[in-house]
Amino acid sequence: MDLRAIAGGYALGRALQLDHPELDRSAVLCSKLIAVLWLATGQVVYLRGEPVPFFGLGVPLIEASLFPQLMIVLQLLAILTIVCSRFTRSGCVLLASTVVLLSLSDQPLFSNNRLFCAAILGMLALGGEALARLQLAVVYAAAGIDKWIDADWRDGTFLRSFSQGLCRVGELWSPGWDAGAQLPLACALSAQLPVHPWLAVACSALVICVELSIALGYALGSTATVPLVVCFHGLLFVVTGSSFGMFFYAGLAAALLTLRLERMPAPLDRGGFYAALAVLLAGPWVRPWLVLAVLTALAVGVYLRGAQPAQVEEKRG
Amino acid sequence: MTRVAVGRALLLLQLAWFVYAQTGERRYFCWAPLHEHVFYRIEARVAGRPLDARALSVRYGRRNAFFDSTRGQHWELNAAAHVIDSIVWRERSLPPPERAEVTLRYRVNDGEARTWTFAP
Repeated sequence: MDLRAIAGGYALGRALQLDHPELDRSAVLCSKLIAVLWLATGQVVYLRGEPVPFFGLGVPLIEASLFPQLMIVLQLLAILTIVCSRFTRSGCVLLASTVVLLSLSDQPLFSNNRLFCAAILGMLALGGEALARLQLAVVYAAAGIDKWIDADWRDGTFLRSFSQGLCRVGELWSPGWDAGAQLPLACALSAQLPVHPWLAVACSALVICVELSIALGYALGSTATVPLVVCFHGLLFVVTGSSFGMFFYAGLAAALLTLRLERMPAPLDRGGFYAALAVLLAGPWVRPWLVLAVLTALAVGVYLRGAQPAQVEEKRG
Repeated sequence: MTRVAVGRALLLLQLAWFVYAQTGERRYFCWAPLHEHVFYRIEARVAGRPLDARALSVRYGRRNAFFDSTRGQHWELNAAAHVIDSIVWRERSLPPPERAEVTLRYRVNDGEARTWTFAP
């Protein structure tokens, strides 16, 4: 193994470069955004001293005293590799594998949003943007179908009681977490949904339809997926006051996989623009109103710039 | 090609796991966020001695769980079975003398009150 050649593959200047011999620019950007936001939102350090192993089966490696430190080092190495090296695929595999191992190591910390990141990164490494889009189609389709076949979701019971819970508990976790802060939209929903049962049914149907439409959009590689994803994740943030860990960020980053960045008008074709957007939306200053304002401004900006992103074509060769 | 085949196999595995998961109460690794939400309260005793709120949080990994201070209950946003699993798998990983008698009172989607118990 030529360690000098490997070390030569790393450079800070690569952070904003999106060129890769096998991956599209959008795929490289997506993986870099997920890696950086994984670090920025504190996902690297979430291990507990007393894990509850899945099925009660303790694994010696997980119970070893240096396991938490090892996991942190592996995640940092993976992030560095994805962001600052030409070994993007290897970094994606390392971060995805570490996240899956962490999910299996402590059942109370099981979270769909972390696995969502692992799934995207893993599929980008295995088969590029086409396979990652299929993965995204599976995720959103499963989420939509699971709700659709649940009676409490179909008749609005879930949303009615969930909005009441949100109104009492207040904002859920986000980088700018403010425990118990009021959620005006959730409280308005919690007041209206019990009075108008049809509204609860309509809102539930809307959520399910949007999730299934996003799944279809990813399966077809349609650029129409982007506004759907932005509206869905933006509204989820505004209503719950939460990014749901990485779900909001990874969800938006993944939407880039339906675009050809090189055909987008400036500055939408550059990594620096998305890095600035990530800083704006992932700092401790992030609030639901800020998310709404930024995403609205972005939508207006894209409209005024006359962006006409080309439909994704399957990569040749 | 091999890489892509592995990726496709993983996708098929996920689809199969999703279908299997629909036959039970658990929603691990099957892309079902917000499947249901559960307000719950755990009470536990070890050798007849009740555990306080802090000890319960540490024991069952609930320190970062959402909490409804109005009701004095925790809030799970995935599935009730996951809370039960936390308790069962924690207790089974302990030596028998250290295991607790546990009572879980909970409501799925704010429906009817349910009680579940674990005996060591």
